[in-house]
Amino acid sequence: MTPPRLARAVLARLSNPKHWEEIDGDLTEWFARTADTSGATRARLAYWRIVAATIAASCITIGQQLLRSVWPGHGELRVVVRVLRRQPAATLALVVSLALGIGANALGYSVLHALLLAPLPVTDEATLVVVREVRLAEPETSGGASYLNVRDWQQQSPVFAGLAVVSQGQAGIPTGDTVVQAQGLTVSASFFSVLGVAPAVGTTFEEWGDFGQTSSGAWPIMLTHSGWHRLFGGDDAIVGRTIDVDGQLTQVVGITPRHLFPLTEEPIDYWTTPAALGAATDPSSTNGSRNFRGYVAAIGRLRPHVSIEQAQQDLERVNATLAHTSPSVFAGRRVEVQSLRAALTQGSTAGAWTLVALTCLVWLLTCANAINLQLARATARARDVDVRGALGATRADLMRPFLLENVLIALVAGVTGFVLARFVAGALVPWLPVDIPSLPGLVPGASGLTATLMLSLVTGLLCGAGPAWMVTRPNNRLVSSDRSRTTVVSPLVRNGLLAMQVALALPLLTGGGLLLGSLYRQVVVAPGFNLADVWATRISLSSAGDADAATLNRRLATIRESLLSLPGVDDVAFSQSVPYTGLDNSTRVGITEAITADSPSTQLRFITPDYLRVMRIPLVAGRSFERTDTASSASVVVVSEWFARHHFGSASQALGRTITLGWGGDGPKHIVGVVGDVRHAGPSTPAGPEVYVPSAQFPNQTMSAVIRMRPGDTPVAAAIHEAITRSEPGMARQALRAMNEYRAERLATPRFAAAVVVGFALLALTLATVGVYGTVSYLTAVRRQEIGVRLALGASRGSVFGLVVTQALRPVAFGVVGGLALALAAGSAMRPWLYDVTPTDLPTLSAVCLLLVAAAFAAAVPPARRATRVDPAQTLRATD
Amino acid sequence: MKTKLGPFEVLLLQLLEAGDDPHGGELREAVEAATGRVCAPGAVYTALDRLEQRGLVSSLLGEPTPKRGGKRRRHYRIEKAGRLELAEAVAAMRQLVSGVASAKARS
Repeated sequence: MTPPRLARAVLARLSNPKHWEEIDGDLTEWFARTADTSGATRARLAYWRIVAATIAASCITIGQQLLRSVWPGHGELRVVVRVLRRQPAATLALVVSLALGIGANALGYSVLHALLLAPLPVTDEATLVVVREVRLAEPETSGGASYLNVRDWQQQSPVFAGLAVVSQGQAGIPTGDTVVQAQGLTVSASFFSVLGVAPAVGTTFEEWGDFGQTSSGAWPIMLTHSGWHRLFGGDDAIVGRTIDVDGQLTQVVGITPRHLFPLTEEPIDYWTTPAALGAATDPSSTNGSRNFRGYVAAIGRLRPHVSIEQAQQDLERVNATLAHTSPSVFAGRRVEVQSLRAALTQGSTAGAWTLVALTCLVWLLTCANAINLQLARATARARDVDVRGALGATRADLMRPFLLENVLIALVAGVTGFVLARFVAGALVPWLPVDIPSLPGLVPGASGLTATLMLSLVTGLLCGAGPAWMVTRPNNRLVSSDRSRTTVVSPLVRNGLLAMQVALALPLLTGGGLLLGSLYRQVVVAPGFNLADVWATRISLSSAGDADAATLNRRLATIRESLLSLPGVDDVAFSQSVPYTGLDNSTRVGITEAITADSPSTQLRFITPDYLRVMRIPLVAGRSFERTDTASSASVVVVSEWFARHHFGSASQALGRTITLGWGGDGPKHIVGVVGDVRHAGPSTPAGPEVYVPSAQFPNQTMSAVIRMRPGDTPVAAAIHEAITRSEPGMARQALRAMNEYRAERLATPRFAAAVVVGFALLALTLATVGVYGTVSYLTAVRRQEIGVRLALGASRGSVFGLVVTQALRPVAFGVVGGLALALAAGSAMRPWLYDVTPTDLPTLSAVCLLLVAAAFAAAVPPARRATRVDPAQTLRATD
Repeated sequence: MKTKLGPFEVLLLQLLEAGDDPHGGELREAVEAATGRVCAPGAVYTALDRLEQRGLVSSLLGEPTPKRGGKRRRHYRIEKAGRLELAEAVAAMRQLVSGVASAKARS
């Protein structure tokens, strides 16, 4: 019986060759004995355990040796710590500046990590794709999926293991005694199995299919984790209960896990099956129409070894066969297959890379700052270095304490920066603008810590190596008689570092300036309406969604009357989509001829006659809607100035003309008025074509009330809700919100971007200013004697001041010139976030340059004044 | 300068004092029996090397036997200096333990 061969070979490698003979002999003897007493298997296991213990011991030994090689003698470390503690202010300055630089990078890394690396909360993310059909003419903005096409893809294409449609919707969900307007997603029954997600409570829709009802004859509905808490306070008993959702008997069958899916911008409360959007056999419903891409997209699970390109090609093939039967459906469109992550992070990756570039600049800046500070400190220790060198220390021995000190500082700074980044990220996540997906892992975690510590190590070595190299350069200062003038570091190096700091600060300041400028322009832009004192709330006018036109119009009138009777309410009107709320309609418009696929499109609003007055949208020509514009009178529309000018030449020429609309009522419509343009989508989106239709002529089941309060009055939400539901109990509505809140939401992204970049810019400005102060102080200290001589020879104090300041500003000027190139690059990288400002905006560029020079000047003044106070007699004596 | 003995070295010296010129393999097994943990053979030989360098133990190569695959044993013996240092270390440990015990008794 002999020991396991592999184990023995491993042991032979790890053992000291000097003793291998004895070890091998001992173990062979022991193994044979153990095999006899406890069996071969046990003996083999025991042998392996010894090998494992040896491996562990070797690891510890190697680690100790490694540590000893970079760390010879703990005494050295103790000295370093003592030096650092003796200069607490300088140490603190270094740690703080590096912590900010490294912390900024930890933040940048975690954002990048969340977007590109951190796993999504689904199974096997790599094989999940998002499929949409886009219009060839507008691939960026168009796109969607139709239920029947997706069903055919699933049946006729072998590339998908599963394919599920997704669409957004709203519904009034009864919670206790009120009905809350909730956001939902309509998804195929297979949606959750496609994602590989199990429900947290209850079941998914799988059992009932896309159009099935539960055994109690109700439509199945699921709640998201957040919806469950928001609507039902996390009540477990809700699962299995039937509720009335918009007049439909509905049963809650399950609850999905937390943070399931950042699929859409808004937080989602519930899930429904496609049954919510009509029968697949009804061509007029969303599900029954091939041409109407009523779903946002389809989510597919690719079969193993199928690439995205193969999937796309195969769907094109299926569509080509489908096009034989209905060519018009597929004309001018193509299928687009994207990985799930690409679809989710689209539009955010560029921002993340820009953030990383900015944090790298901050890091470089802090490194330059640290090197500069360390040079000053190293100079003070030059004498010590010389003595040790003269006593026989090698250059490596001399450099080691500097490296050790910097690595130590950088590691402390790294940990501090990481904690700081965690705190900042945690505080920022709730404030993320809605269009930045709050992916899991935005707050730096374990991998962030590893990356941060590695960066800290690099930072420490980088900041330590330069000063250490320069200070330990062999020299003969000790034997030279000229001991007082030990300029260890050439002024060129220090000035170069200073110029570099200025050059690195400039792009950050420029970015901050440009973003602030575009934020300001978005804040002051005239949106075409007056939103001060206006509140809005969305109302479902009929609980079952099937009220007729007369009923709907009557209800609007009743609600308006009861709202007007409330104290403080000045005026009330209704519109189907209100600016800045994210709701919008688009349709084709026929100007002279019938509507085709090539007809121009327009935005479409359904309003009551008072709407233009309540929103203070100015009338440019013609008339506004009257109460006499009813279903029985002539069809009329009001168009925006942009529409009139673009299609008819001018506002007056548009009056009296007729247009036809793809949606919003059949037949020709007379243009009776032209009103001012409105920035409906947000302050930064320029106004486009708009057509207003009186809601009396095309009633909608859901409208938003816009309530103008008397200046200074705020509405009482409970009173408003009571007034709305007084005539028709059970009407769902969204919370009442001030238009200013919606505006703030639209401005959240530019505000967020500006806050982040301006924060970096301020940091950069501070560091650059500290750099100027430190460098000028150092250089004037070195030139003390020369200045004394100048003064003794009759130079005025003013000229000495001027000399110091101009010499300080020279590297700053070099830095500004060099930094301009970086600033221009930073500006163009920020182009997607700029509004009404070009990256080369001259006022911004000159302002930040001036700011930087002014800060540098201010930092140079104190050392320059100190220089003027040099006593010539004293310095002359000192040269003896 | 005199270096103090570590616990592992004290253990080895005690085993040597009690045993009759044991070889490395026996010592390793005795350590495992005493500590209840797996012991790497390299650790035993490294520690014994260190003790031998300090003159606390001496070693002797034995004859190769077929049971050991033709490999020789190395026998170890504790020297006078080793006995002295072991006694000193044990006394120091005793004092430490009794000091704690009496401190406990007083409180």
